[in-house]
Parts: sequence; C-alpha cells; structure tokens
Amino acid sequence: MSNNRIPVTILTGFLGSGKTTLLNRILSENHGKKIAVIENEFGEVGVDNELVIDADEEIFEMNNGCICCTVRGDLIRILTRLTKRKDKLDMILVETTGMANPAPVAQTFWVDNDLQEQYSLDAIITMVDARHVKLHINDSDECKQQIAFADIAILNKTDLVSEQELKGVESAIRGINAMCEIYPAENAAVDLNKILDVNAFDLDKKVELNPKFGEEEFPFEAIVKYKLPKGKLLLELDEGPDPSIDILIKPYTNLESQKNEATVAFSGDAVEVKAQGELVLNQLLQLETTKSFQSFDLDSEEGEFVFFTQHGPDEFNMQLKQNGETIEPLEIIEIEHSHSHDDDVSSVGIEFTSPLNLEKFQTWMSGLLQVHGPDIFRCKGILNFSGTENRIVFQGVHMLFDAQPDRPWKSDEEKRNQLIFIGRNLDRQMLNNGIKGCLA
Amino acid sequence: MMESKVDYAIKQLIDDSKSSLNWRLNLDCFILKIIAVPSSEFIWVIGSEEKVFLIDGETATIVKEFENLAEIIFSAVIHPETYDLILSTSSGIQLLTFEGKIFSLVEEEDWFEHIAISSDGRFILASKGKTLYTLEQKDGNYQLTAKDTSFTSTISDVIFNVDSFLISNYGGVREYPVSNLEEYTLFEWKTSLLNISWSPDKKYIAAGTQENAIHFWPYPLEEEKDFQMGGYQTKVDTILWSADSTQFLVNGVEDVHIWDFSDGPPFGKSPKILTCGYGKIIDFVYDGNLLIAVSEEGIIFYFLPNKSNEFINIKAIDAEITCLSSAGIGRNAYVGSKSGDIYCF
Repeated sequence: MSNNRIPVTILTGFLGSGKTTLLNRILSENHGKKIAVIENEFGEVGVDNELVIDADEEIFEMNNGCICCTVRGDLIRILTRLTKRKDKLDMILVETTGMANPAPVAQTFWVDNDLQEQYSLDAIITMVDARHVKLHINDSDECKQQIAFADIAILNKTDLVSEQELKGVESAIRGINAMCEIYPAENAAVDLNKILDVNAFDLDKKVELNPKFGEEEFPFEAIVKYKLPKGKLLLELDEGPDPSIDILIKPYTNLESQKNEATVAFSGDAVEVKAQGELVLNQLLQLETTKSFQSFDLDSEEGEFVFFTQHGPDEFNMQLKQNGETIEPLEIIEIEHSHSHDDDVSSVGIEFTSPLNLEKFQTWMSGLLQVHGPDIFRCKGILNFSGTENRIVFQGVHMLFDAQPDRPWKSDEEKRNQLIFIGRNLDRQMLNNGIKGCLA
Repeated sequence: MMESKVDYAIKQLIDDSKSSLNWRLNLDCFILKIIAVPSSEFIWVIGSEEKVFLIDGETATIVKEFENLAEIIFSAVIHPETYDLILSTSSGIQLLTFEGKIFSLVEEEDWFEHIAISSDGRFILASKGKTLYTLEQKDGNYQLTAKDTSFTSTISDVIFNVDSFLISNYGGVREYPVSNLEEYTLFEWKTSLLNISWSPDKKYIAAGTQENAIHFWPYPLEEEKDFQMGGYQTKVDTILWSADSTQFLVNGVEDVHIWDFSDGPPFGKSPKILTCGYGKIIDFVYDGNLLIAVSEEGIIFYFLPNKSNEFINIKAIDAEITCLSSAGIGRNAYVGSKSGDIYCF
C-alpha cells in the first residue's frame, strides 16, 4: 500500500448550510495546494440546487453479502481517472448532495483495490447551520447520520444565534458524536489547516472533550480482596437476581494486570459448579445460585486473594467462612457500569493500555460488524498490537473496515488503545467485553 | 538493502529489452492513450494533462504538438476518414487536425468523459455526467444537435459498432441506431458497468462490471437471455473481442483470459488462461494471432494463444505502463508510461 496516498475529504451538510461558501473559500484561498473538487453531481454542473438526492444516482449495493454496503460507482470511476496524472494532486474534496447519507461515499474507499492504493479518507466534514439545525436534529435521520459520520462539524452561521443557543446545538451534536471536532464559524470562515489534510485518525484531543470517552469498563462488577488462612473454607451465596454468578479467584499479585487477565478470562467459557462443589483458582467458574442458600468448598493456601465477581457480592450476600467464622474482605472495589443501550444515535469510546492480539481483533471486529454493521455508522481508533512497534490506525463505515500501520510509538508515549464507535443501539458493555477479549 | 532475485531479473530484462527497442521518446506528460493512425506511420499520443502529440512512428519525430488544451483530457477517438483527433475534455469537445489546427466543437467547463464517432464520421456522441451530447456533421462542420438528459445516473461508456452507438450507465446499456438517434433499445442490468464491448459480428454486447463480473446480452435480445460470467478477483476493466468475434478477452489480475465464443456462449467451459505472472495486466492488443499484454509494473508479454498458453517473448521497461497500442500485424507496438516516455518495439 502506498504511503503517500492522496487525502480525500468528504463534505456533507444540508442545503443552505454553507457548503458552497466553504468550497469557494477552499478554492480561492492561497494555500498552494492542488485540489480537485468533485461536486455533488459527478461530472455535472456543480450547482447545489437539488433538495432531494436523485434516488437513481449510481448508489448500488455491493454483491458481497453486506446489506448496508452501498458505494458510488460513478465516484470510483472519477477517482480512478484522477490518478492518471503526472502531477499528483495534493487533495481531493468530494461534496455530497444536501440530504445524502455519507456512507456510500465513504465506503467507496474500501471496496475498490485501486482506490485503496491511491487514496486515504482524511476526514468527513459536515456543515451545520447553527440556526436551523435544531429544527432537524431531533427528528431527521439524515441530520443525525450526517453528524454521526463527521470527523469535523463546522457550526456555521453562529452570528445568527445567541450564545446559549449555540451551546445547546454544540451539546446536541456532542450527544450524537462524541469524537468530532466542532468549529464555530461565521460565513464558513474556518482555518483550512484545521479541516484539510488533518488525518482525522488522531484521537488525542477527543479524550479531553468528553470525560466519558474511553472510560475503562470490565465484564465484572466487583473485585473483592481477602487475606485468607490456610485450610478448608466455605463460600456462601444466597439466591440472587440471576440463576448463576461467574467468579474468578486468583492469588493477588498486581491488580492492574490482573484486571486485564480477568477480562480475558471472562470473555471465555466458564466451568459450571453446582452447590457444594469445589472452587479452583485461576479458572472462570459459573456458580449455581438457584437455591435460597448454597455453599462451595475452597481449599486455600495462606495469602492474599482477589475474587472477580460478575455481580456485586451484596446482590448474592456473598460470604467467606472458616469454621463458621466470617472472613471480612480487605477491600471491595466496585466497578462502575453504564449499561448504555441507546436506541438513538450515540458514541462509545474505549481506551486501555494492554496490547491486543491482531488475529483475535480481526475476528472479533469482522463478527461485530457483520452483526451490528447496519447500526454502527462509524468506528475508528488507534491500536496497540503486540509484536509491532507501530501504531495501527483503523476506521470503518458500517460493515467495512480498514486497518493500516501508522508511525512508530514514540519512546515517551504510552501505548494505548483508543477506539470509538458511533451509531444506533450501541451497547457499551458488549463493545468493552468484546475488545477486551482480544487482549494478547 | 539486498536486491531480490525478482528485482535483479527485472533489471536484466530491462537491459535486454533495450536491444529490441526501436525508439524511446519523452513527452513529459502522463500518457493516457496512443492511437495508431490506420495505414500510416503516424500515431496520436494523448497526455492526460493538456497535451496531445502527432508523432511519426517510424522516425520518432514530433510532427505536431498541441498544448493547453484542457485541464484534463478524458478520452479521444480519431475521425474514420480524415484521421483527425477528437477529444473529450474537462472543458468540452475539441477537434485537432493533422495540419495542427484546433476546433472547439463544444465549449463548456464540465467533464466530458466518454466519446465515440460513427464509422462514416457523421455523428459524434459524447457524455457529460448524465447528459448525452449528439453532434452531427453538416456542411463540413460539427454542430450540436441534441442533449439527452434522460439518463438517471452517470454515463460510464460510449462506443460505436457497425451502425449503432452503445451507451452504458447504471441501468444497463442503450443502443442508439444511427438511422434514428432519437430512439433506443435498452439492454437492462442494474449494476455499475465500467465499459462495453460489442462483438464485431454484433451478436453479443459485453460489459465489465465493478462487481468482478462481465455481463452479456445476446443481440438482438429477444432471441436469448442475458447471462453473466462471475468469479473474477477484481473489477473487470479491460475487455476485448477478437476481430472474428470468436474469442472474448478479459484481464485477470496477473493473466489474460480468453473465452471461446465460436460455438456460442461458453456455458460450462473454462477459459484459456494466459499467465503473465508479474503485475496487474492493464491493457492488451490482439490480432487473432499475436497477443501483446502489458502490466502496470512495466512488463510486456507476447503470446501466440492459438498455439500455447505460455508467453513466447517478454520485455520490460523502466517505467510504469499506462497504455498500449499496435499499428497492426507485424507493425510497431507502442507503450505509454506514467513518466511520459513512449516506447516503440
């Protein structure tokens, strides 16, 4: 794959939001770059005068089993043609029609091998009319989609709204898309260096924008730490809200690394243990809790141990006893969960440091997008894979995704995985558990 | 860095090929297309950016040079009688004569991507987005006579064969007979069609598609149903019929497939596969005996497909190849490159 691929910017936005003004600005400003602009009717007059996208324009479903995999055939041909030049273009700007769903244009860059070699999707920009967007944002799927797909939202015509209204619009945009940069502008006047050739993979700033972004989650709700004596112990559980509870018991070493080990264990199969059964260490156990009270045997060594429990220990009134005496835990760490399962458009950010296994990630991601692709409008991130010194950047649109090696990690840089998903019906915990199951 | 065996072999091949090179000329432009003028030593060379050259193919001398024609040149055809060149560009349609004159036939700042001319030179059809332009020669000059805006998606190819034009877009292929350019027959198939090729005997229309397949319509359509050949590894962007219509050629990734149509559609049969094995095949010419195929990576393969599937000769140039043209049996082969060099073997 060529390293000097031509960056492509996709410009979306409703009619009247200021796309043409921005285009004129880009083309007339003295930036010294050779930019090809592909307007909404490829090869046609680029006058933005259509209210509704022509349904018969060449948007077609790829015959590859992806129900949401629509692409622009005409765009493929035009972009292929634009590679036939001696003087390389610095940048391509693709303007979409006002009401258009940006997905077919964005997906075009993943379905054609020639285009993948020559071009890289730099950013999706959406122009938002600060005054009129509030009329659409709650009831227009197109409006939500355009914001959801955006790497950058230019909040235009800020001179026509009050400061309070502006904050409200910003908040509404952020509610849909936690990762996008928002640039307020009057008359589409925005610093072009911030919107062109920006490599929108860079997620560094997104963490600051949204404190919830990347909040680490785990597939267990509590970690209970005990100092245990040597000998026979009993773990007692009452009937809880579920007919079983998953537990992992480990000798305590280092809690941070053990959290990740436990996450991997929780993504695997648990061994069923009936009441009065034996508990073993370092193995995910599924303890039966169908009776009003049950106990399990634990043959313990002396030392400190951590119990990773699927649910809070109080939900099952979990107690550990020796000779009828309750052993009090040294510490109970409750893991906060936000069981986001929003049927509206929203974002889920995930961030953690442990390296990932490439093969596991690819398998999980393919499976995830196969099932949830129609609801996941965009996903992107920077990943830390074991065995490579380079950052891996990836991004996807619906069922298609593409991962590429990026620059090497810097010596003073923490190797972190940062991912974001934007879409409908996103389940934060499911996504967290899934990616944690890909740890190396 | 250690040189690989393949790199070394290619370097050797480039050196060896110099002995059979007739000439090499640098034109300082991306060479988009080379059109050999029939029964002459001349070739038209079309650069994708602004430039066109008329070259004496025997002496490698530039006879005429045309500059600043348009920001992008998309396609070109030659007039079947005068051999003048007609260009479709990002600023309209232009006619370049052997005498070095330039006539603007349509002047519009828009992308005219595809163009074809009738065998008597009377009609030119060109596409601009979803609009089809018809030009007719009257009193020695071409005049714009119609703009057809009935296409609902961008036109992807325009060709002429015998007595009809074929126009492809997402909805399929339309046939416009020159006897009545106002009416058309639709050969329907909803997919992204990349190019069309009509067998010289007019029995089959073929279209390469974005979706790794070729769609065929028997002609006329009433007699048989349309059919498809799938399973290609990539989009099908180079297709060609042999002059006698018995063979249909398709580019694979590193090979050329020849389908035998001598007894009708080759249902249940496999194609003859000519393996090149180095680089993506982007163009080929075939005179029914000798087939020359070129890969983007600079390799030129010579086959005698009726005798063997193995290439009989191989040459290489030190440049990325963009196009290929041949002046006919036993004549020169011209290879265009990204670097602006044109090679004559």
